[in-house]
Amino acid sequence: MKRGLCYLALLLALLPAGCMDRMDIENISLALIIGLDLDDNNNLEVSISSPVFSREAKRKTEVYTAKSLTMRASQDEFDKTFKAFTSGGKSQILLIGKKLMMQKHWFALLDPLLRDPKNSTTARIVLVDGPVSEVIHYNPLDKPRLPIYLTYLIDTASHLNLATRTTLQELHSINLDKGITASIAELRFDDKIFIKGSALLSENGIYKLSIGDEETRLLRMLQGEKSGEFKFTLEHEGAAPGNGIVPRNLYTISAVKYSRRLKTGYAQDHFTFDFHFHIRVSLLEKLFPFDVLKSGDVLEAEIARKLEDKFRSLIQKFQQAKIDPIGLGRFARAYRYNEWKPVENKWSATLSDADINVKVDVLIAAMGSIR
Amino acid sequence: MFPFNLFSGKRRYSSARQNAGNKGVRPFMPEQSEGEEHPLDPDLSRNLEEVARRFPNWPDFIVFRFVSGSDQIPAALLYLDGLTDKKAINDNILQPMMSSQQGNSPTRFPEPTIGDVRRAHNWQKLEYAIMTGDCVLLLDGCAHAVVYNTSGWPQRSITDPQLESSLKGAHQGFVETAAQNLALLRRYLPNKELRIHKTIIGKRGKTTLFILYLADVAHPDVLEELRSRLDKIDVDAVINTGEVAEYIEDNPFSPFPQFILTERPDSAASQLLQGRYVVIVDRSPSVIIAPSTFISLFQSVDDYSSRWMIASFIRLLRFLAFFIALLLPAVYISFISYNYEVIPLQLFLSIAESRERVPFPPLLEAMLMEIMLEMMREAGIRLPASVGQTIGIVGGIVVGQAAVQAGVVSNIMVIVVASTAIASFILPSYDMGTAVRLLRFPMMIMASLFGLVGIVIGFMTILIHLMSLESLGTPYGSPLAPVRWSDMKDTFVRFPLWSMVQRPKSARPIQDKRAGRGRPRGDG
Amino acid sequence: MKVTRLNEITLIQYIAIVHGAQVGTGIFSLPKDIALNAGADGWISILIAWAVITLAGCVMLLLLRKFPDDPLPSLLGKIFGRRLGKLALLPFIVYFGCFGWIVMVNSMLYIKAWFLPKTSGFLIILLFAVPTFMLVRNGMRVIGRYAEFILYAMAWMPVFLLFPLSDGHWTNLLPILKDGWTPVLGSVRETLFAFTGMEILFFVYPHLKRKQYAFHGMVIANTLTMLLYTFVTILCYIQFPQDEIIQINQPLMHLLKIIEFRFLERFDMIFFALYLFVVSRSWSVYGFATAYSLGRLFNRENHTGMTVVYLLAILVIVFVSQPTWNQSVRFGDGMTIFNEWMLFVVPVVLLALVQIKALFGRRAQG
Repeated sequence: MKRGLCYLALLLALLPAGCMDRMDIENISLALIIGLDLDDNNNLEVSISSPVFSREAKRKTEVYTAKSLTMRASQDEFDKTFKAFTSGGKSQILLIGKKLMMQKHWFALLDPLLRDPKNSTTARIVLVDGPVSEVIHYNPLDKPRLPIYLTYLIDTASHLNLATRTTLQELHSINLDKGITASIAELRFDDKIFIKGSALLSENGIYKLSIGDEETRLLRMLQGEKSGEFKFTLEHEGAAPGNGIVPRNLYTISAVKYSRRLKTGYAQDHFTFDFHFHIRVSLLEKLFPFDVLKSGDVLEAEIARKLEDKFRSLIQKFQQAKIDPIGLGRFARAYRYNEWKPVENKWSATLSDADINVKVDVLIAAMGSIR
Repeated sequence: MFPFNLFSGKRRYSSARQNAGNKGVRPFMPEQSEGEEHPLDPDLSRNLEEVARRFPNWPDFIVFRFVSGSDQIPAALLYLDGLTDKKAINDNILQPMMSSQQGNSPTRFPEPTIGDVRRAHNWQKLEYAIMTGDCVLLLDGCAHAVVYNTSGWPQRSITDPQLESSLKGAHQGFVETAAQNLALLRRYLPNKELRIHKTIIGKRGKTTLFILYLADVAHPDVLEELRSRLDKIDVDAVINTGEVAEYIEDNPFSPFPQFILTERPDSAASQLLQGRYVVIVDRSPSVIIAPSTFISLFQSVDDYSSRWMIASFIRLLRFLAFFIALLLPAVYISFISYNYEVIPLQLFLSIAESRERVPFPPLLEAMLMEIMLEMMREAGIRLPASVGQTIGIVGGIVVGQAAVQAGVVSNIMVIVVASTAIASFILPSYDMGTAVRLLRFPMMIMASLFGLVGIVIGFMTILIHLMSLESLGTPYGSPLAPVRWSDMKDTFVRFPLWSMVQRPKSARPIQDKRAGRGRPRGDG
Repeated sequence: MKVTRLNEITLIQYIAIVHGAQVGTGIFSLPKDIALNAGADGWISILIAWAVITLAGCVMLLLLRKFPDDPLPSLLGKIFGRRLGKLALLPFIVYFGCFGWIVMVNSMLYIKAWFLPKTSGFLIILLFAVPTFMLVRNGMRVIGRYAEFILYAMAWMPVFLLFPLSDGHWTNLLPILKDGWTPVLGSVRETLFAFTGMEILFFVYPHLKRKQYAFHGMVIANTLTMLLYTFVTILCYIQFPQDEIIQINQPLMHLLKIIEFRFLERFDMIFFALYLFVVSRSWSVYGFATAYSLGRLFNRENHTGMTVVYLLAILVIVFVSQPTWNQSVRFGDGMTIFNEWMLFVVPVVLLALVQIKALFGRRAQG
């Protein structure tokens, strides 16, 4: 009996005290898209796009841009106008303006997102070629809410290998990892939102250069990423370009399956990396007459050559820009640790001296239903 | 027994009941020790005077005076109208006696064609005999009375039990007469090893209890425990089996039933074969199966009549239903109040939109809906079938829909509550279903105070409670805790019958092979 | 409670209890702690620590074999005599009490950080106290059942950690032993702390029904813990580069954060909430050790009262001191020495005393 009373007293003591952390779902303004940019005077601008749940509101999203010193400080500005408590627990997209990404240590601004355990670290980071406000205020009638639309856009683009997809967590990893530099998706706004390709960052994590969709595919193959589509449109040397309107010498292939072998070596004071690709290809379009059955190997050799050239020019681009988005540093560290250790802090510079070779073997697996 | 004495709400048979029977009320039946007897008088008329004194003005008490046989000896037949089978009295007692041509002397009795004949030497036995439906014959010049078993009180015919109907099993249920129930069980186990102990409980009610078990299978320690607990019951009367179960259970403060109460003879028979004890309570159609385990409350007779794959599927469905019925409202509350990050984005948006219009906090909304549902359920029990169905539809659909339209509850809440209700109906044991219904509310409160952590702690508490609970000294959580792998064949899924060679260990049977070679067969 | 037939535990329950006592909240920060000292080869130090602990366990079992029916209090009583035995019991009570405190308070801090930041720590510990009280009060029998059940019920957890594997890089682990053995050996001491829990054998061993398997059980329990730790550490190293992992406080949680399903986004929250079941094993066993010893200290048969005292003490201290992460880490570091004494020195000393006593006894007799 006495014990029963004790239990009861305990329970009653619990009741009023426990509700402090409660945050009802309809009272939350989810910051689904967070945008960071610099304005003309190089002040930080933080924008948030958040869905509106009220039936009485006509628009489904609310957007607000605030000027502030840091991200956490900006939260007050948002709470001054948003309907509910702002929360970063479900951020889907982080839009970073190009101007901001060219500043040193810009990544430190994202610290609160990583520090608070309640925040989601799987938000995708996207570089905006232009002002972020244009993108974040975009509210078309023929598309779902912007956050959902953008998330699907980025994920689909990543699957098609038009752009790389990097989450906040991954960017944090890559920035700290001495063996690789980052690549993130890039988009621009031109009346509608377009994926531009990938933006590559330098060792310090600041913006270095952009590559287009074909180069992104090549980069993905170099990284060994197996999923998604790899389409290439190539010029056939044996055919004439035609009258200029219908290109009679182009054909498109898709790499259905490929294997990548990478040998890491060290010779004569510099690193050597030998890539060897075996690619199974299927023919998607062919705008000139060619008997694939009879002279398929000629085509295969040409595809191999062309791809090797493309790989080489891309790698040269990387070496000149002193970046390592492929992650060759990881291999150097794994297989040539003793040579890696002394140069690990200036890996990108070392890589520009490295000897990188690519060899490609192509097999045409399918050509479609017509010859 | 050690665990039985562990502290925390374990019942000590309350001494409160000790004195209830003797508290200043004149007992109807005086306690008589063996030595004291009020013998009958050989003189019939004096006996009849005593009878008139002991049974004054009873409207249903019949004293039939007649002259028996050719000797013309005065006799009287005493019985209670309504409790006796009058046809049997007429045909089998009066007829032969009154028309017998043999000489009847006080020492030679006529031979009525009744099976059970006893003698009563004192008034106490005579009174008891009359009050339990036997008829008593007094002969002039004889110092004892003869008691014939002619009980024939009204009883209902054997029908399918309401709460435990089965699709493919037998459609017989226990009735309110212990002897009939005994017969029904004997039909399943015509085996010499089936032992029956008889006890009587209740000072006034004098309810007969039969304890049945298989002597070579059931563990004797458990029998000891059961009998000692039954002997300690000291009350006026027990009306229902439920009362007996409550008096002898290990932990009356637990929401979970520690014994199975069943109305099905086939269910009881299969439990007997596992080495458990069946307690038949006279005047009540439920029997107690003791000891029982948590998992046995999820098993139903239909599982063994259907094919094992479908039976396994349904068994799994029951466990899923248990979790849904217990946890779904709590999980819903915790997700929309504390841990919204877990919900995928699209669902989040639609839930938020529907909750936006509701003025109540989630706990209140959930409680409102749950209590409405419980009230509808209780109301449905008392309504006649035709009206009940309509009310169900009206209440469920119309009121629910109207509530959503008016913005009093969100439509997700209606889905949650409806799913919970359906899930709690799937559980085959009524007591388990009510236990889950009850436990839902503390879980909802914990979820509304602490979110997911509260649910985990609440479930942990329930789990630990189940693990420490015992049923007649055997572990209630078996075969999950302590884990007994051989018993797992009939827990989450039902393995084919030919693979279930051993009896489950939870009842501690002393002979555990039920199939295959090397087991004692039948009456051996 | 006496060791009667009714609170005997089976071999698997024995394994589950010992393994459960070892795996607490340390697993979340273990990869970072190892990486700080040993780098990417840190997982090897787990194997070394396992070997060391198993040896210590053998010594402990050698001692315990001489007292098959005596949990720690009566064991000390037999070695030192009644009065001195009670005195010798005191440091043990402090030890087990402190470890129970560490596990409970760490769990509370995790819950505060990830689920309920504004709720006071006192309230969370109060929440924990309710099932803990039920578990501890019912003794070794129910603790054994609970530990065994949780062992099976939560066996699926490591499988989920394999989900982010495709995003990982095996190259993070290579080359093995790149900096030699020195950093690995240096971090063994740190790793040993993660295997704390072996000393619970003092209380568990007497209840084991089939004592001939005690040794096997101990090895299996240790191996399970070692496998779990190695698995988690390697997965974390694959996913996060060394340079990053030393900056993450709880690498395991970050690993879980990456897991995303279509129907469930933040899987780490669900995972950690369910992990409470696993951690509760750990602090309840320590709580039992403390409460039971306290009970024997004051000559009580039933340790229920002492359980209340112990839990109340924790509640009061938490309420008053309101521990923080840093305090907890420092307290844990302080306990490391205590732990090493308990694991290595105490069994040897006790064993030696027993042998000496036996020697004297024989001399006295013959």
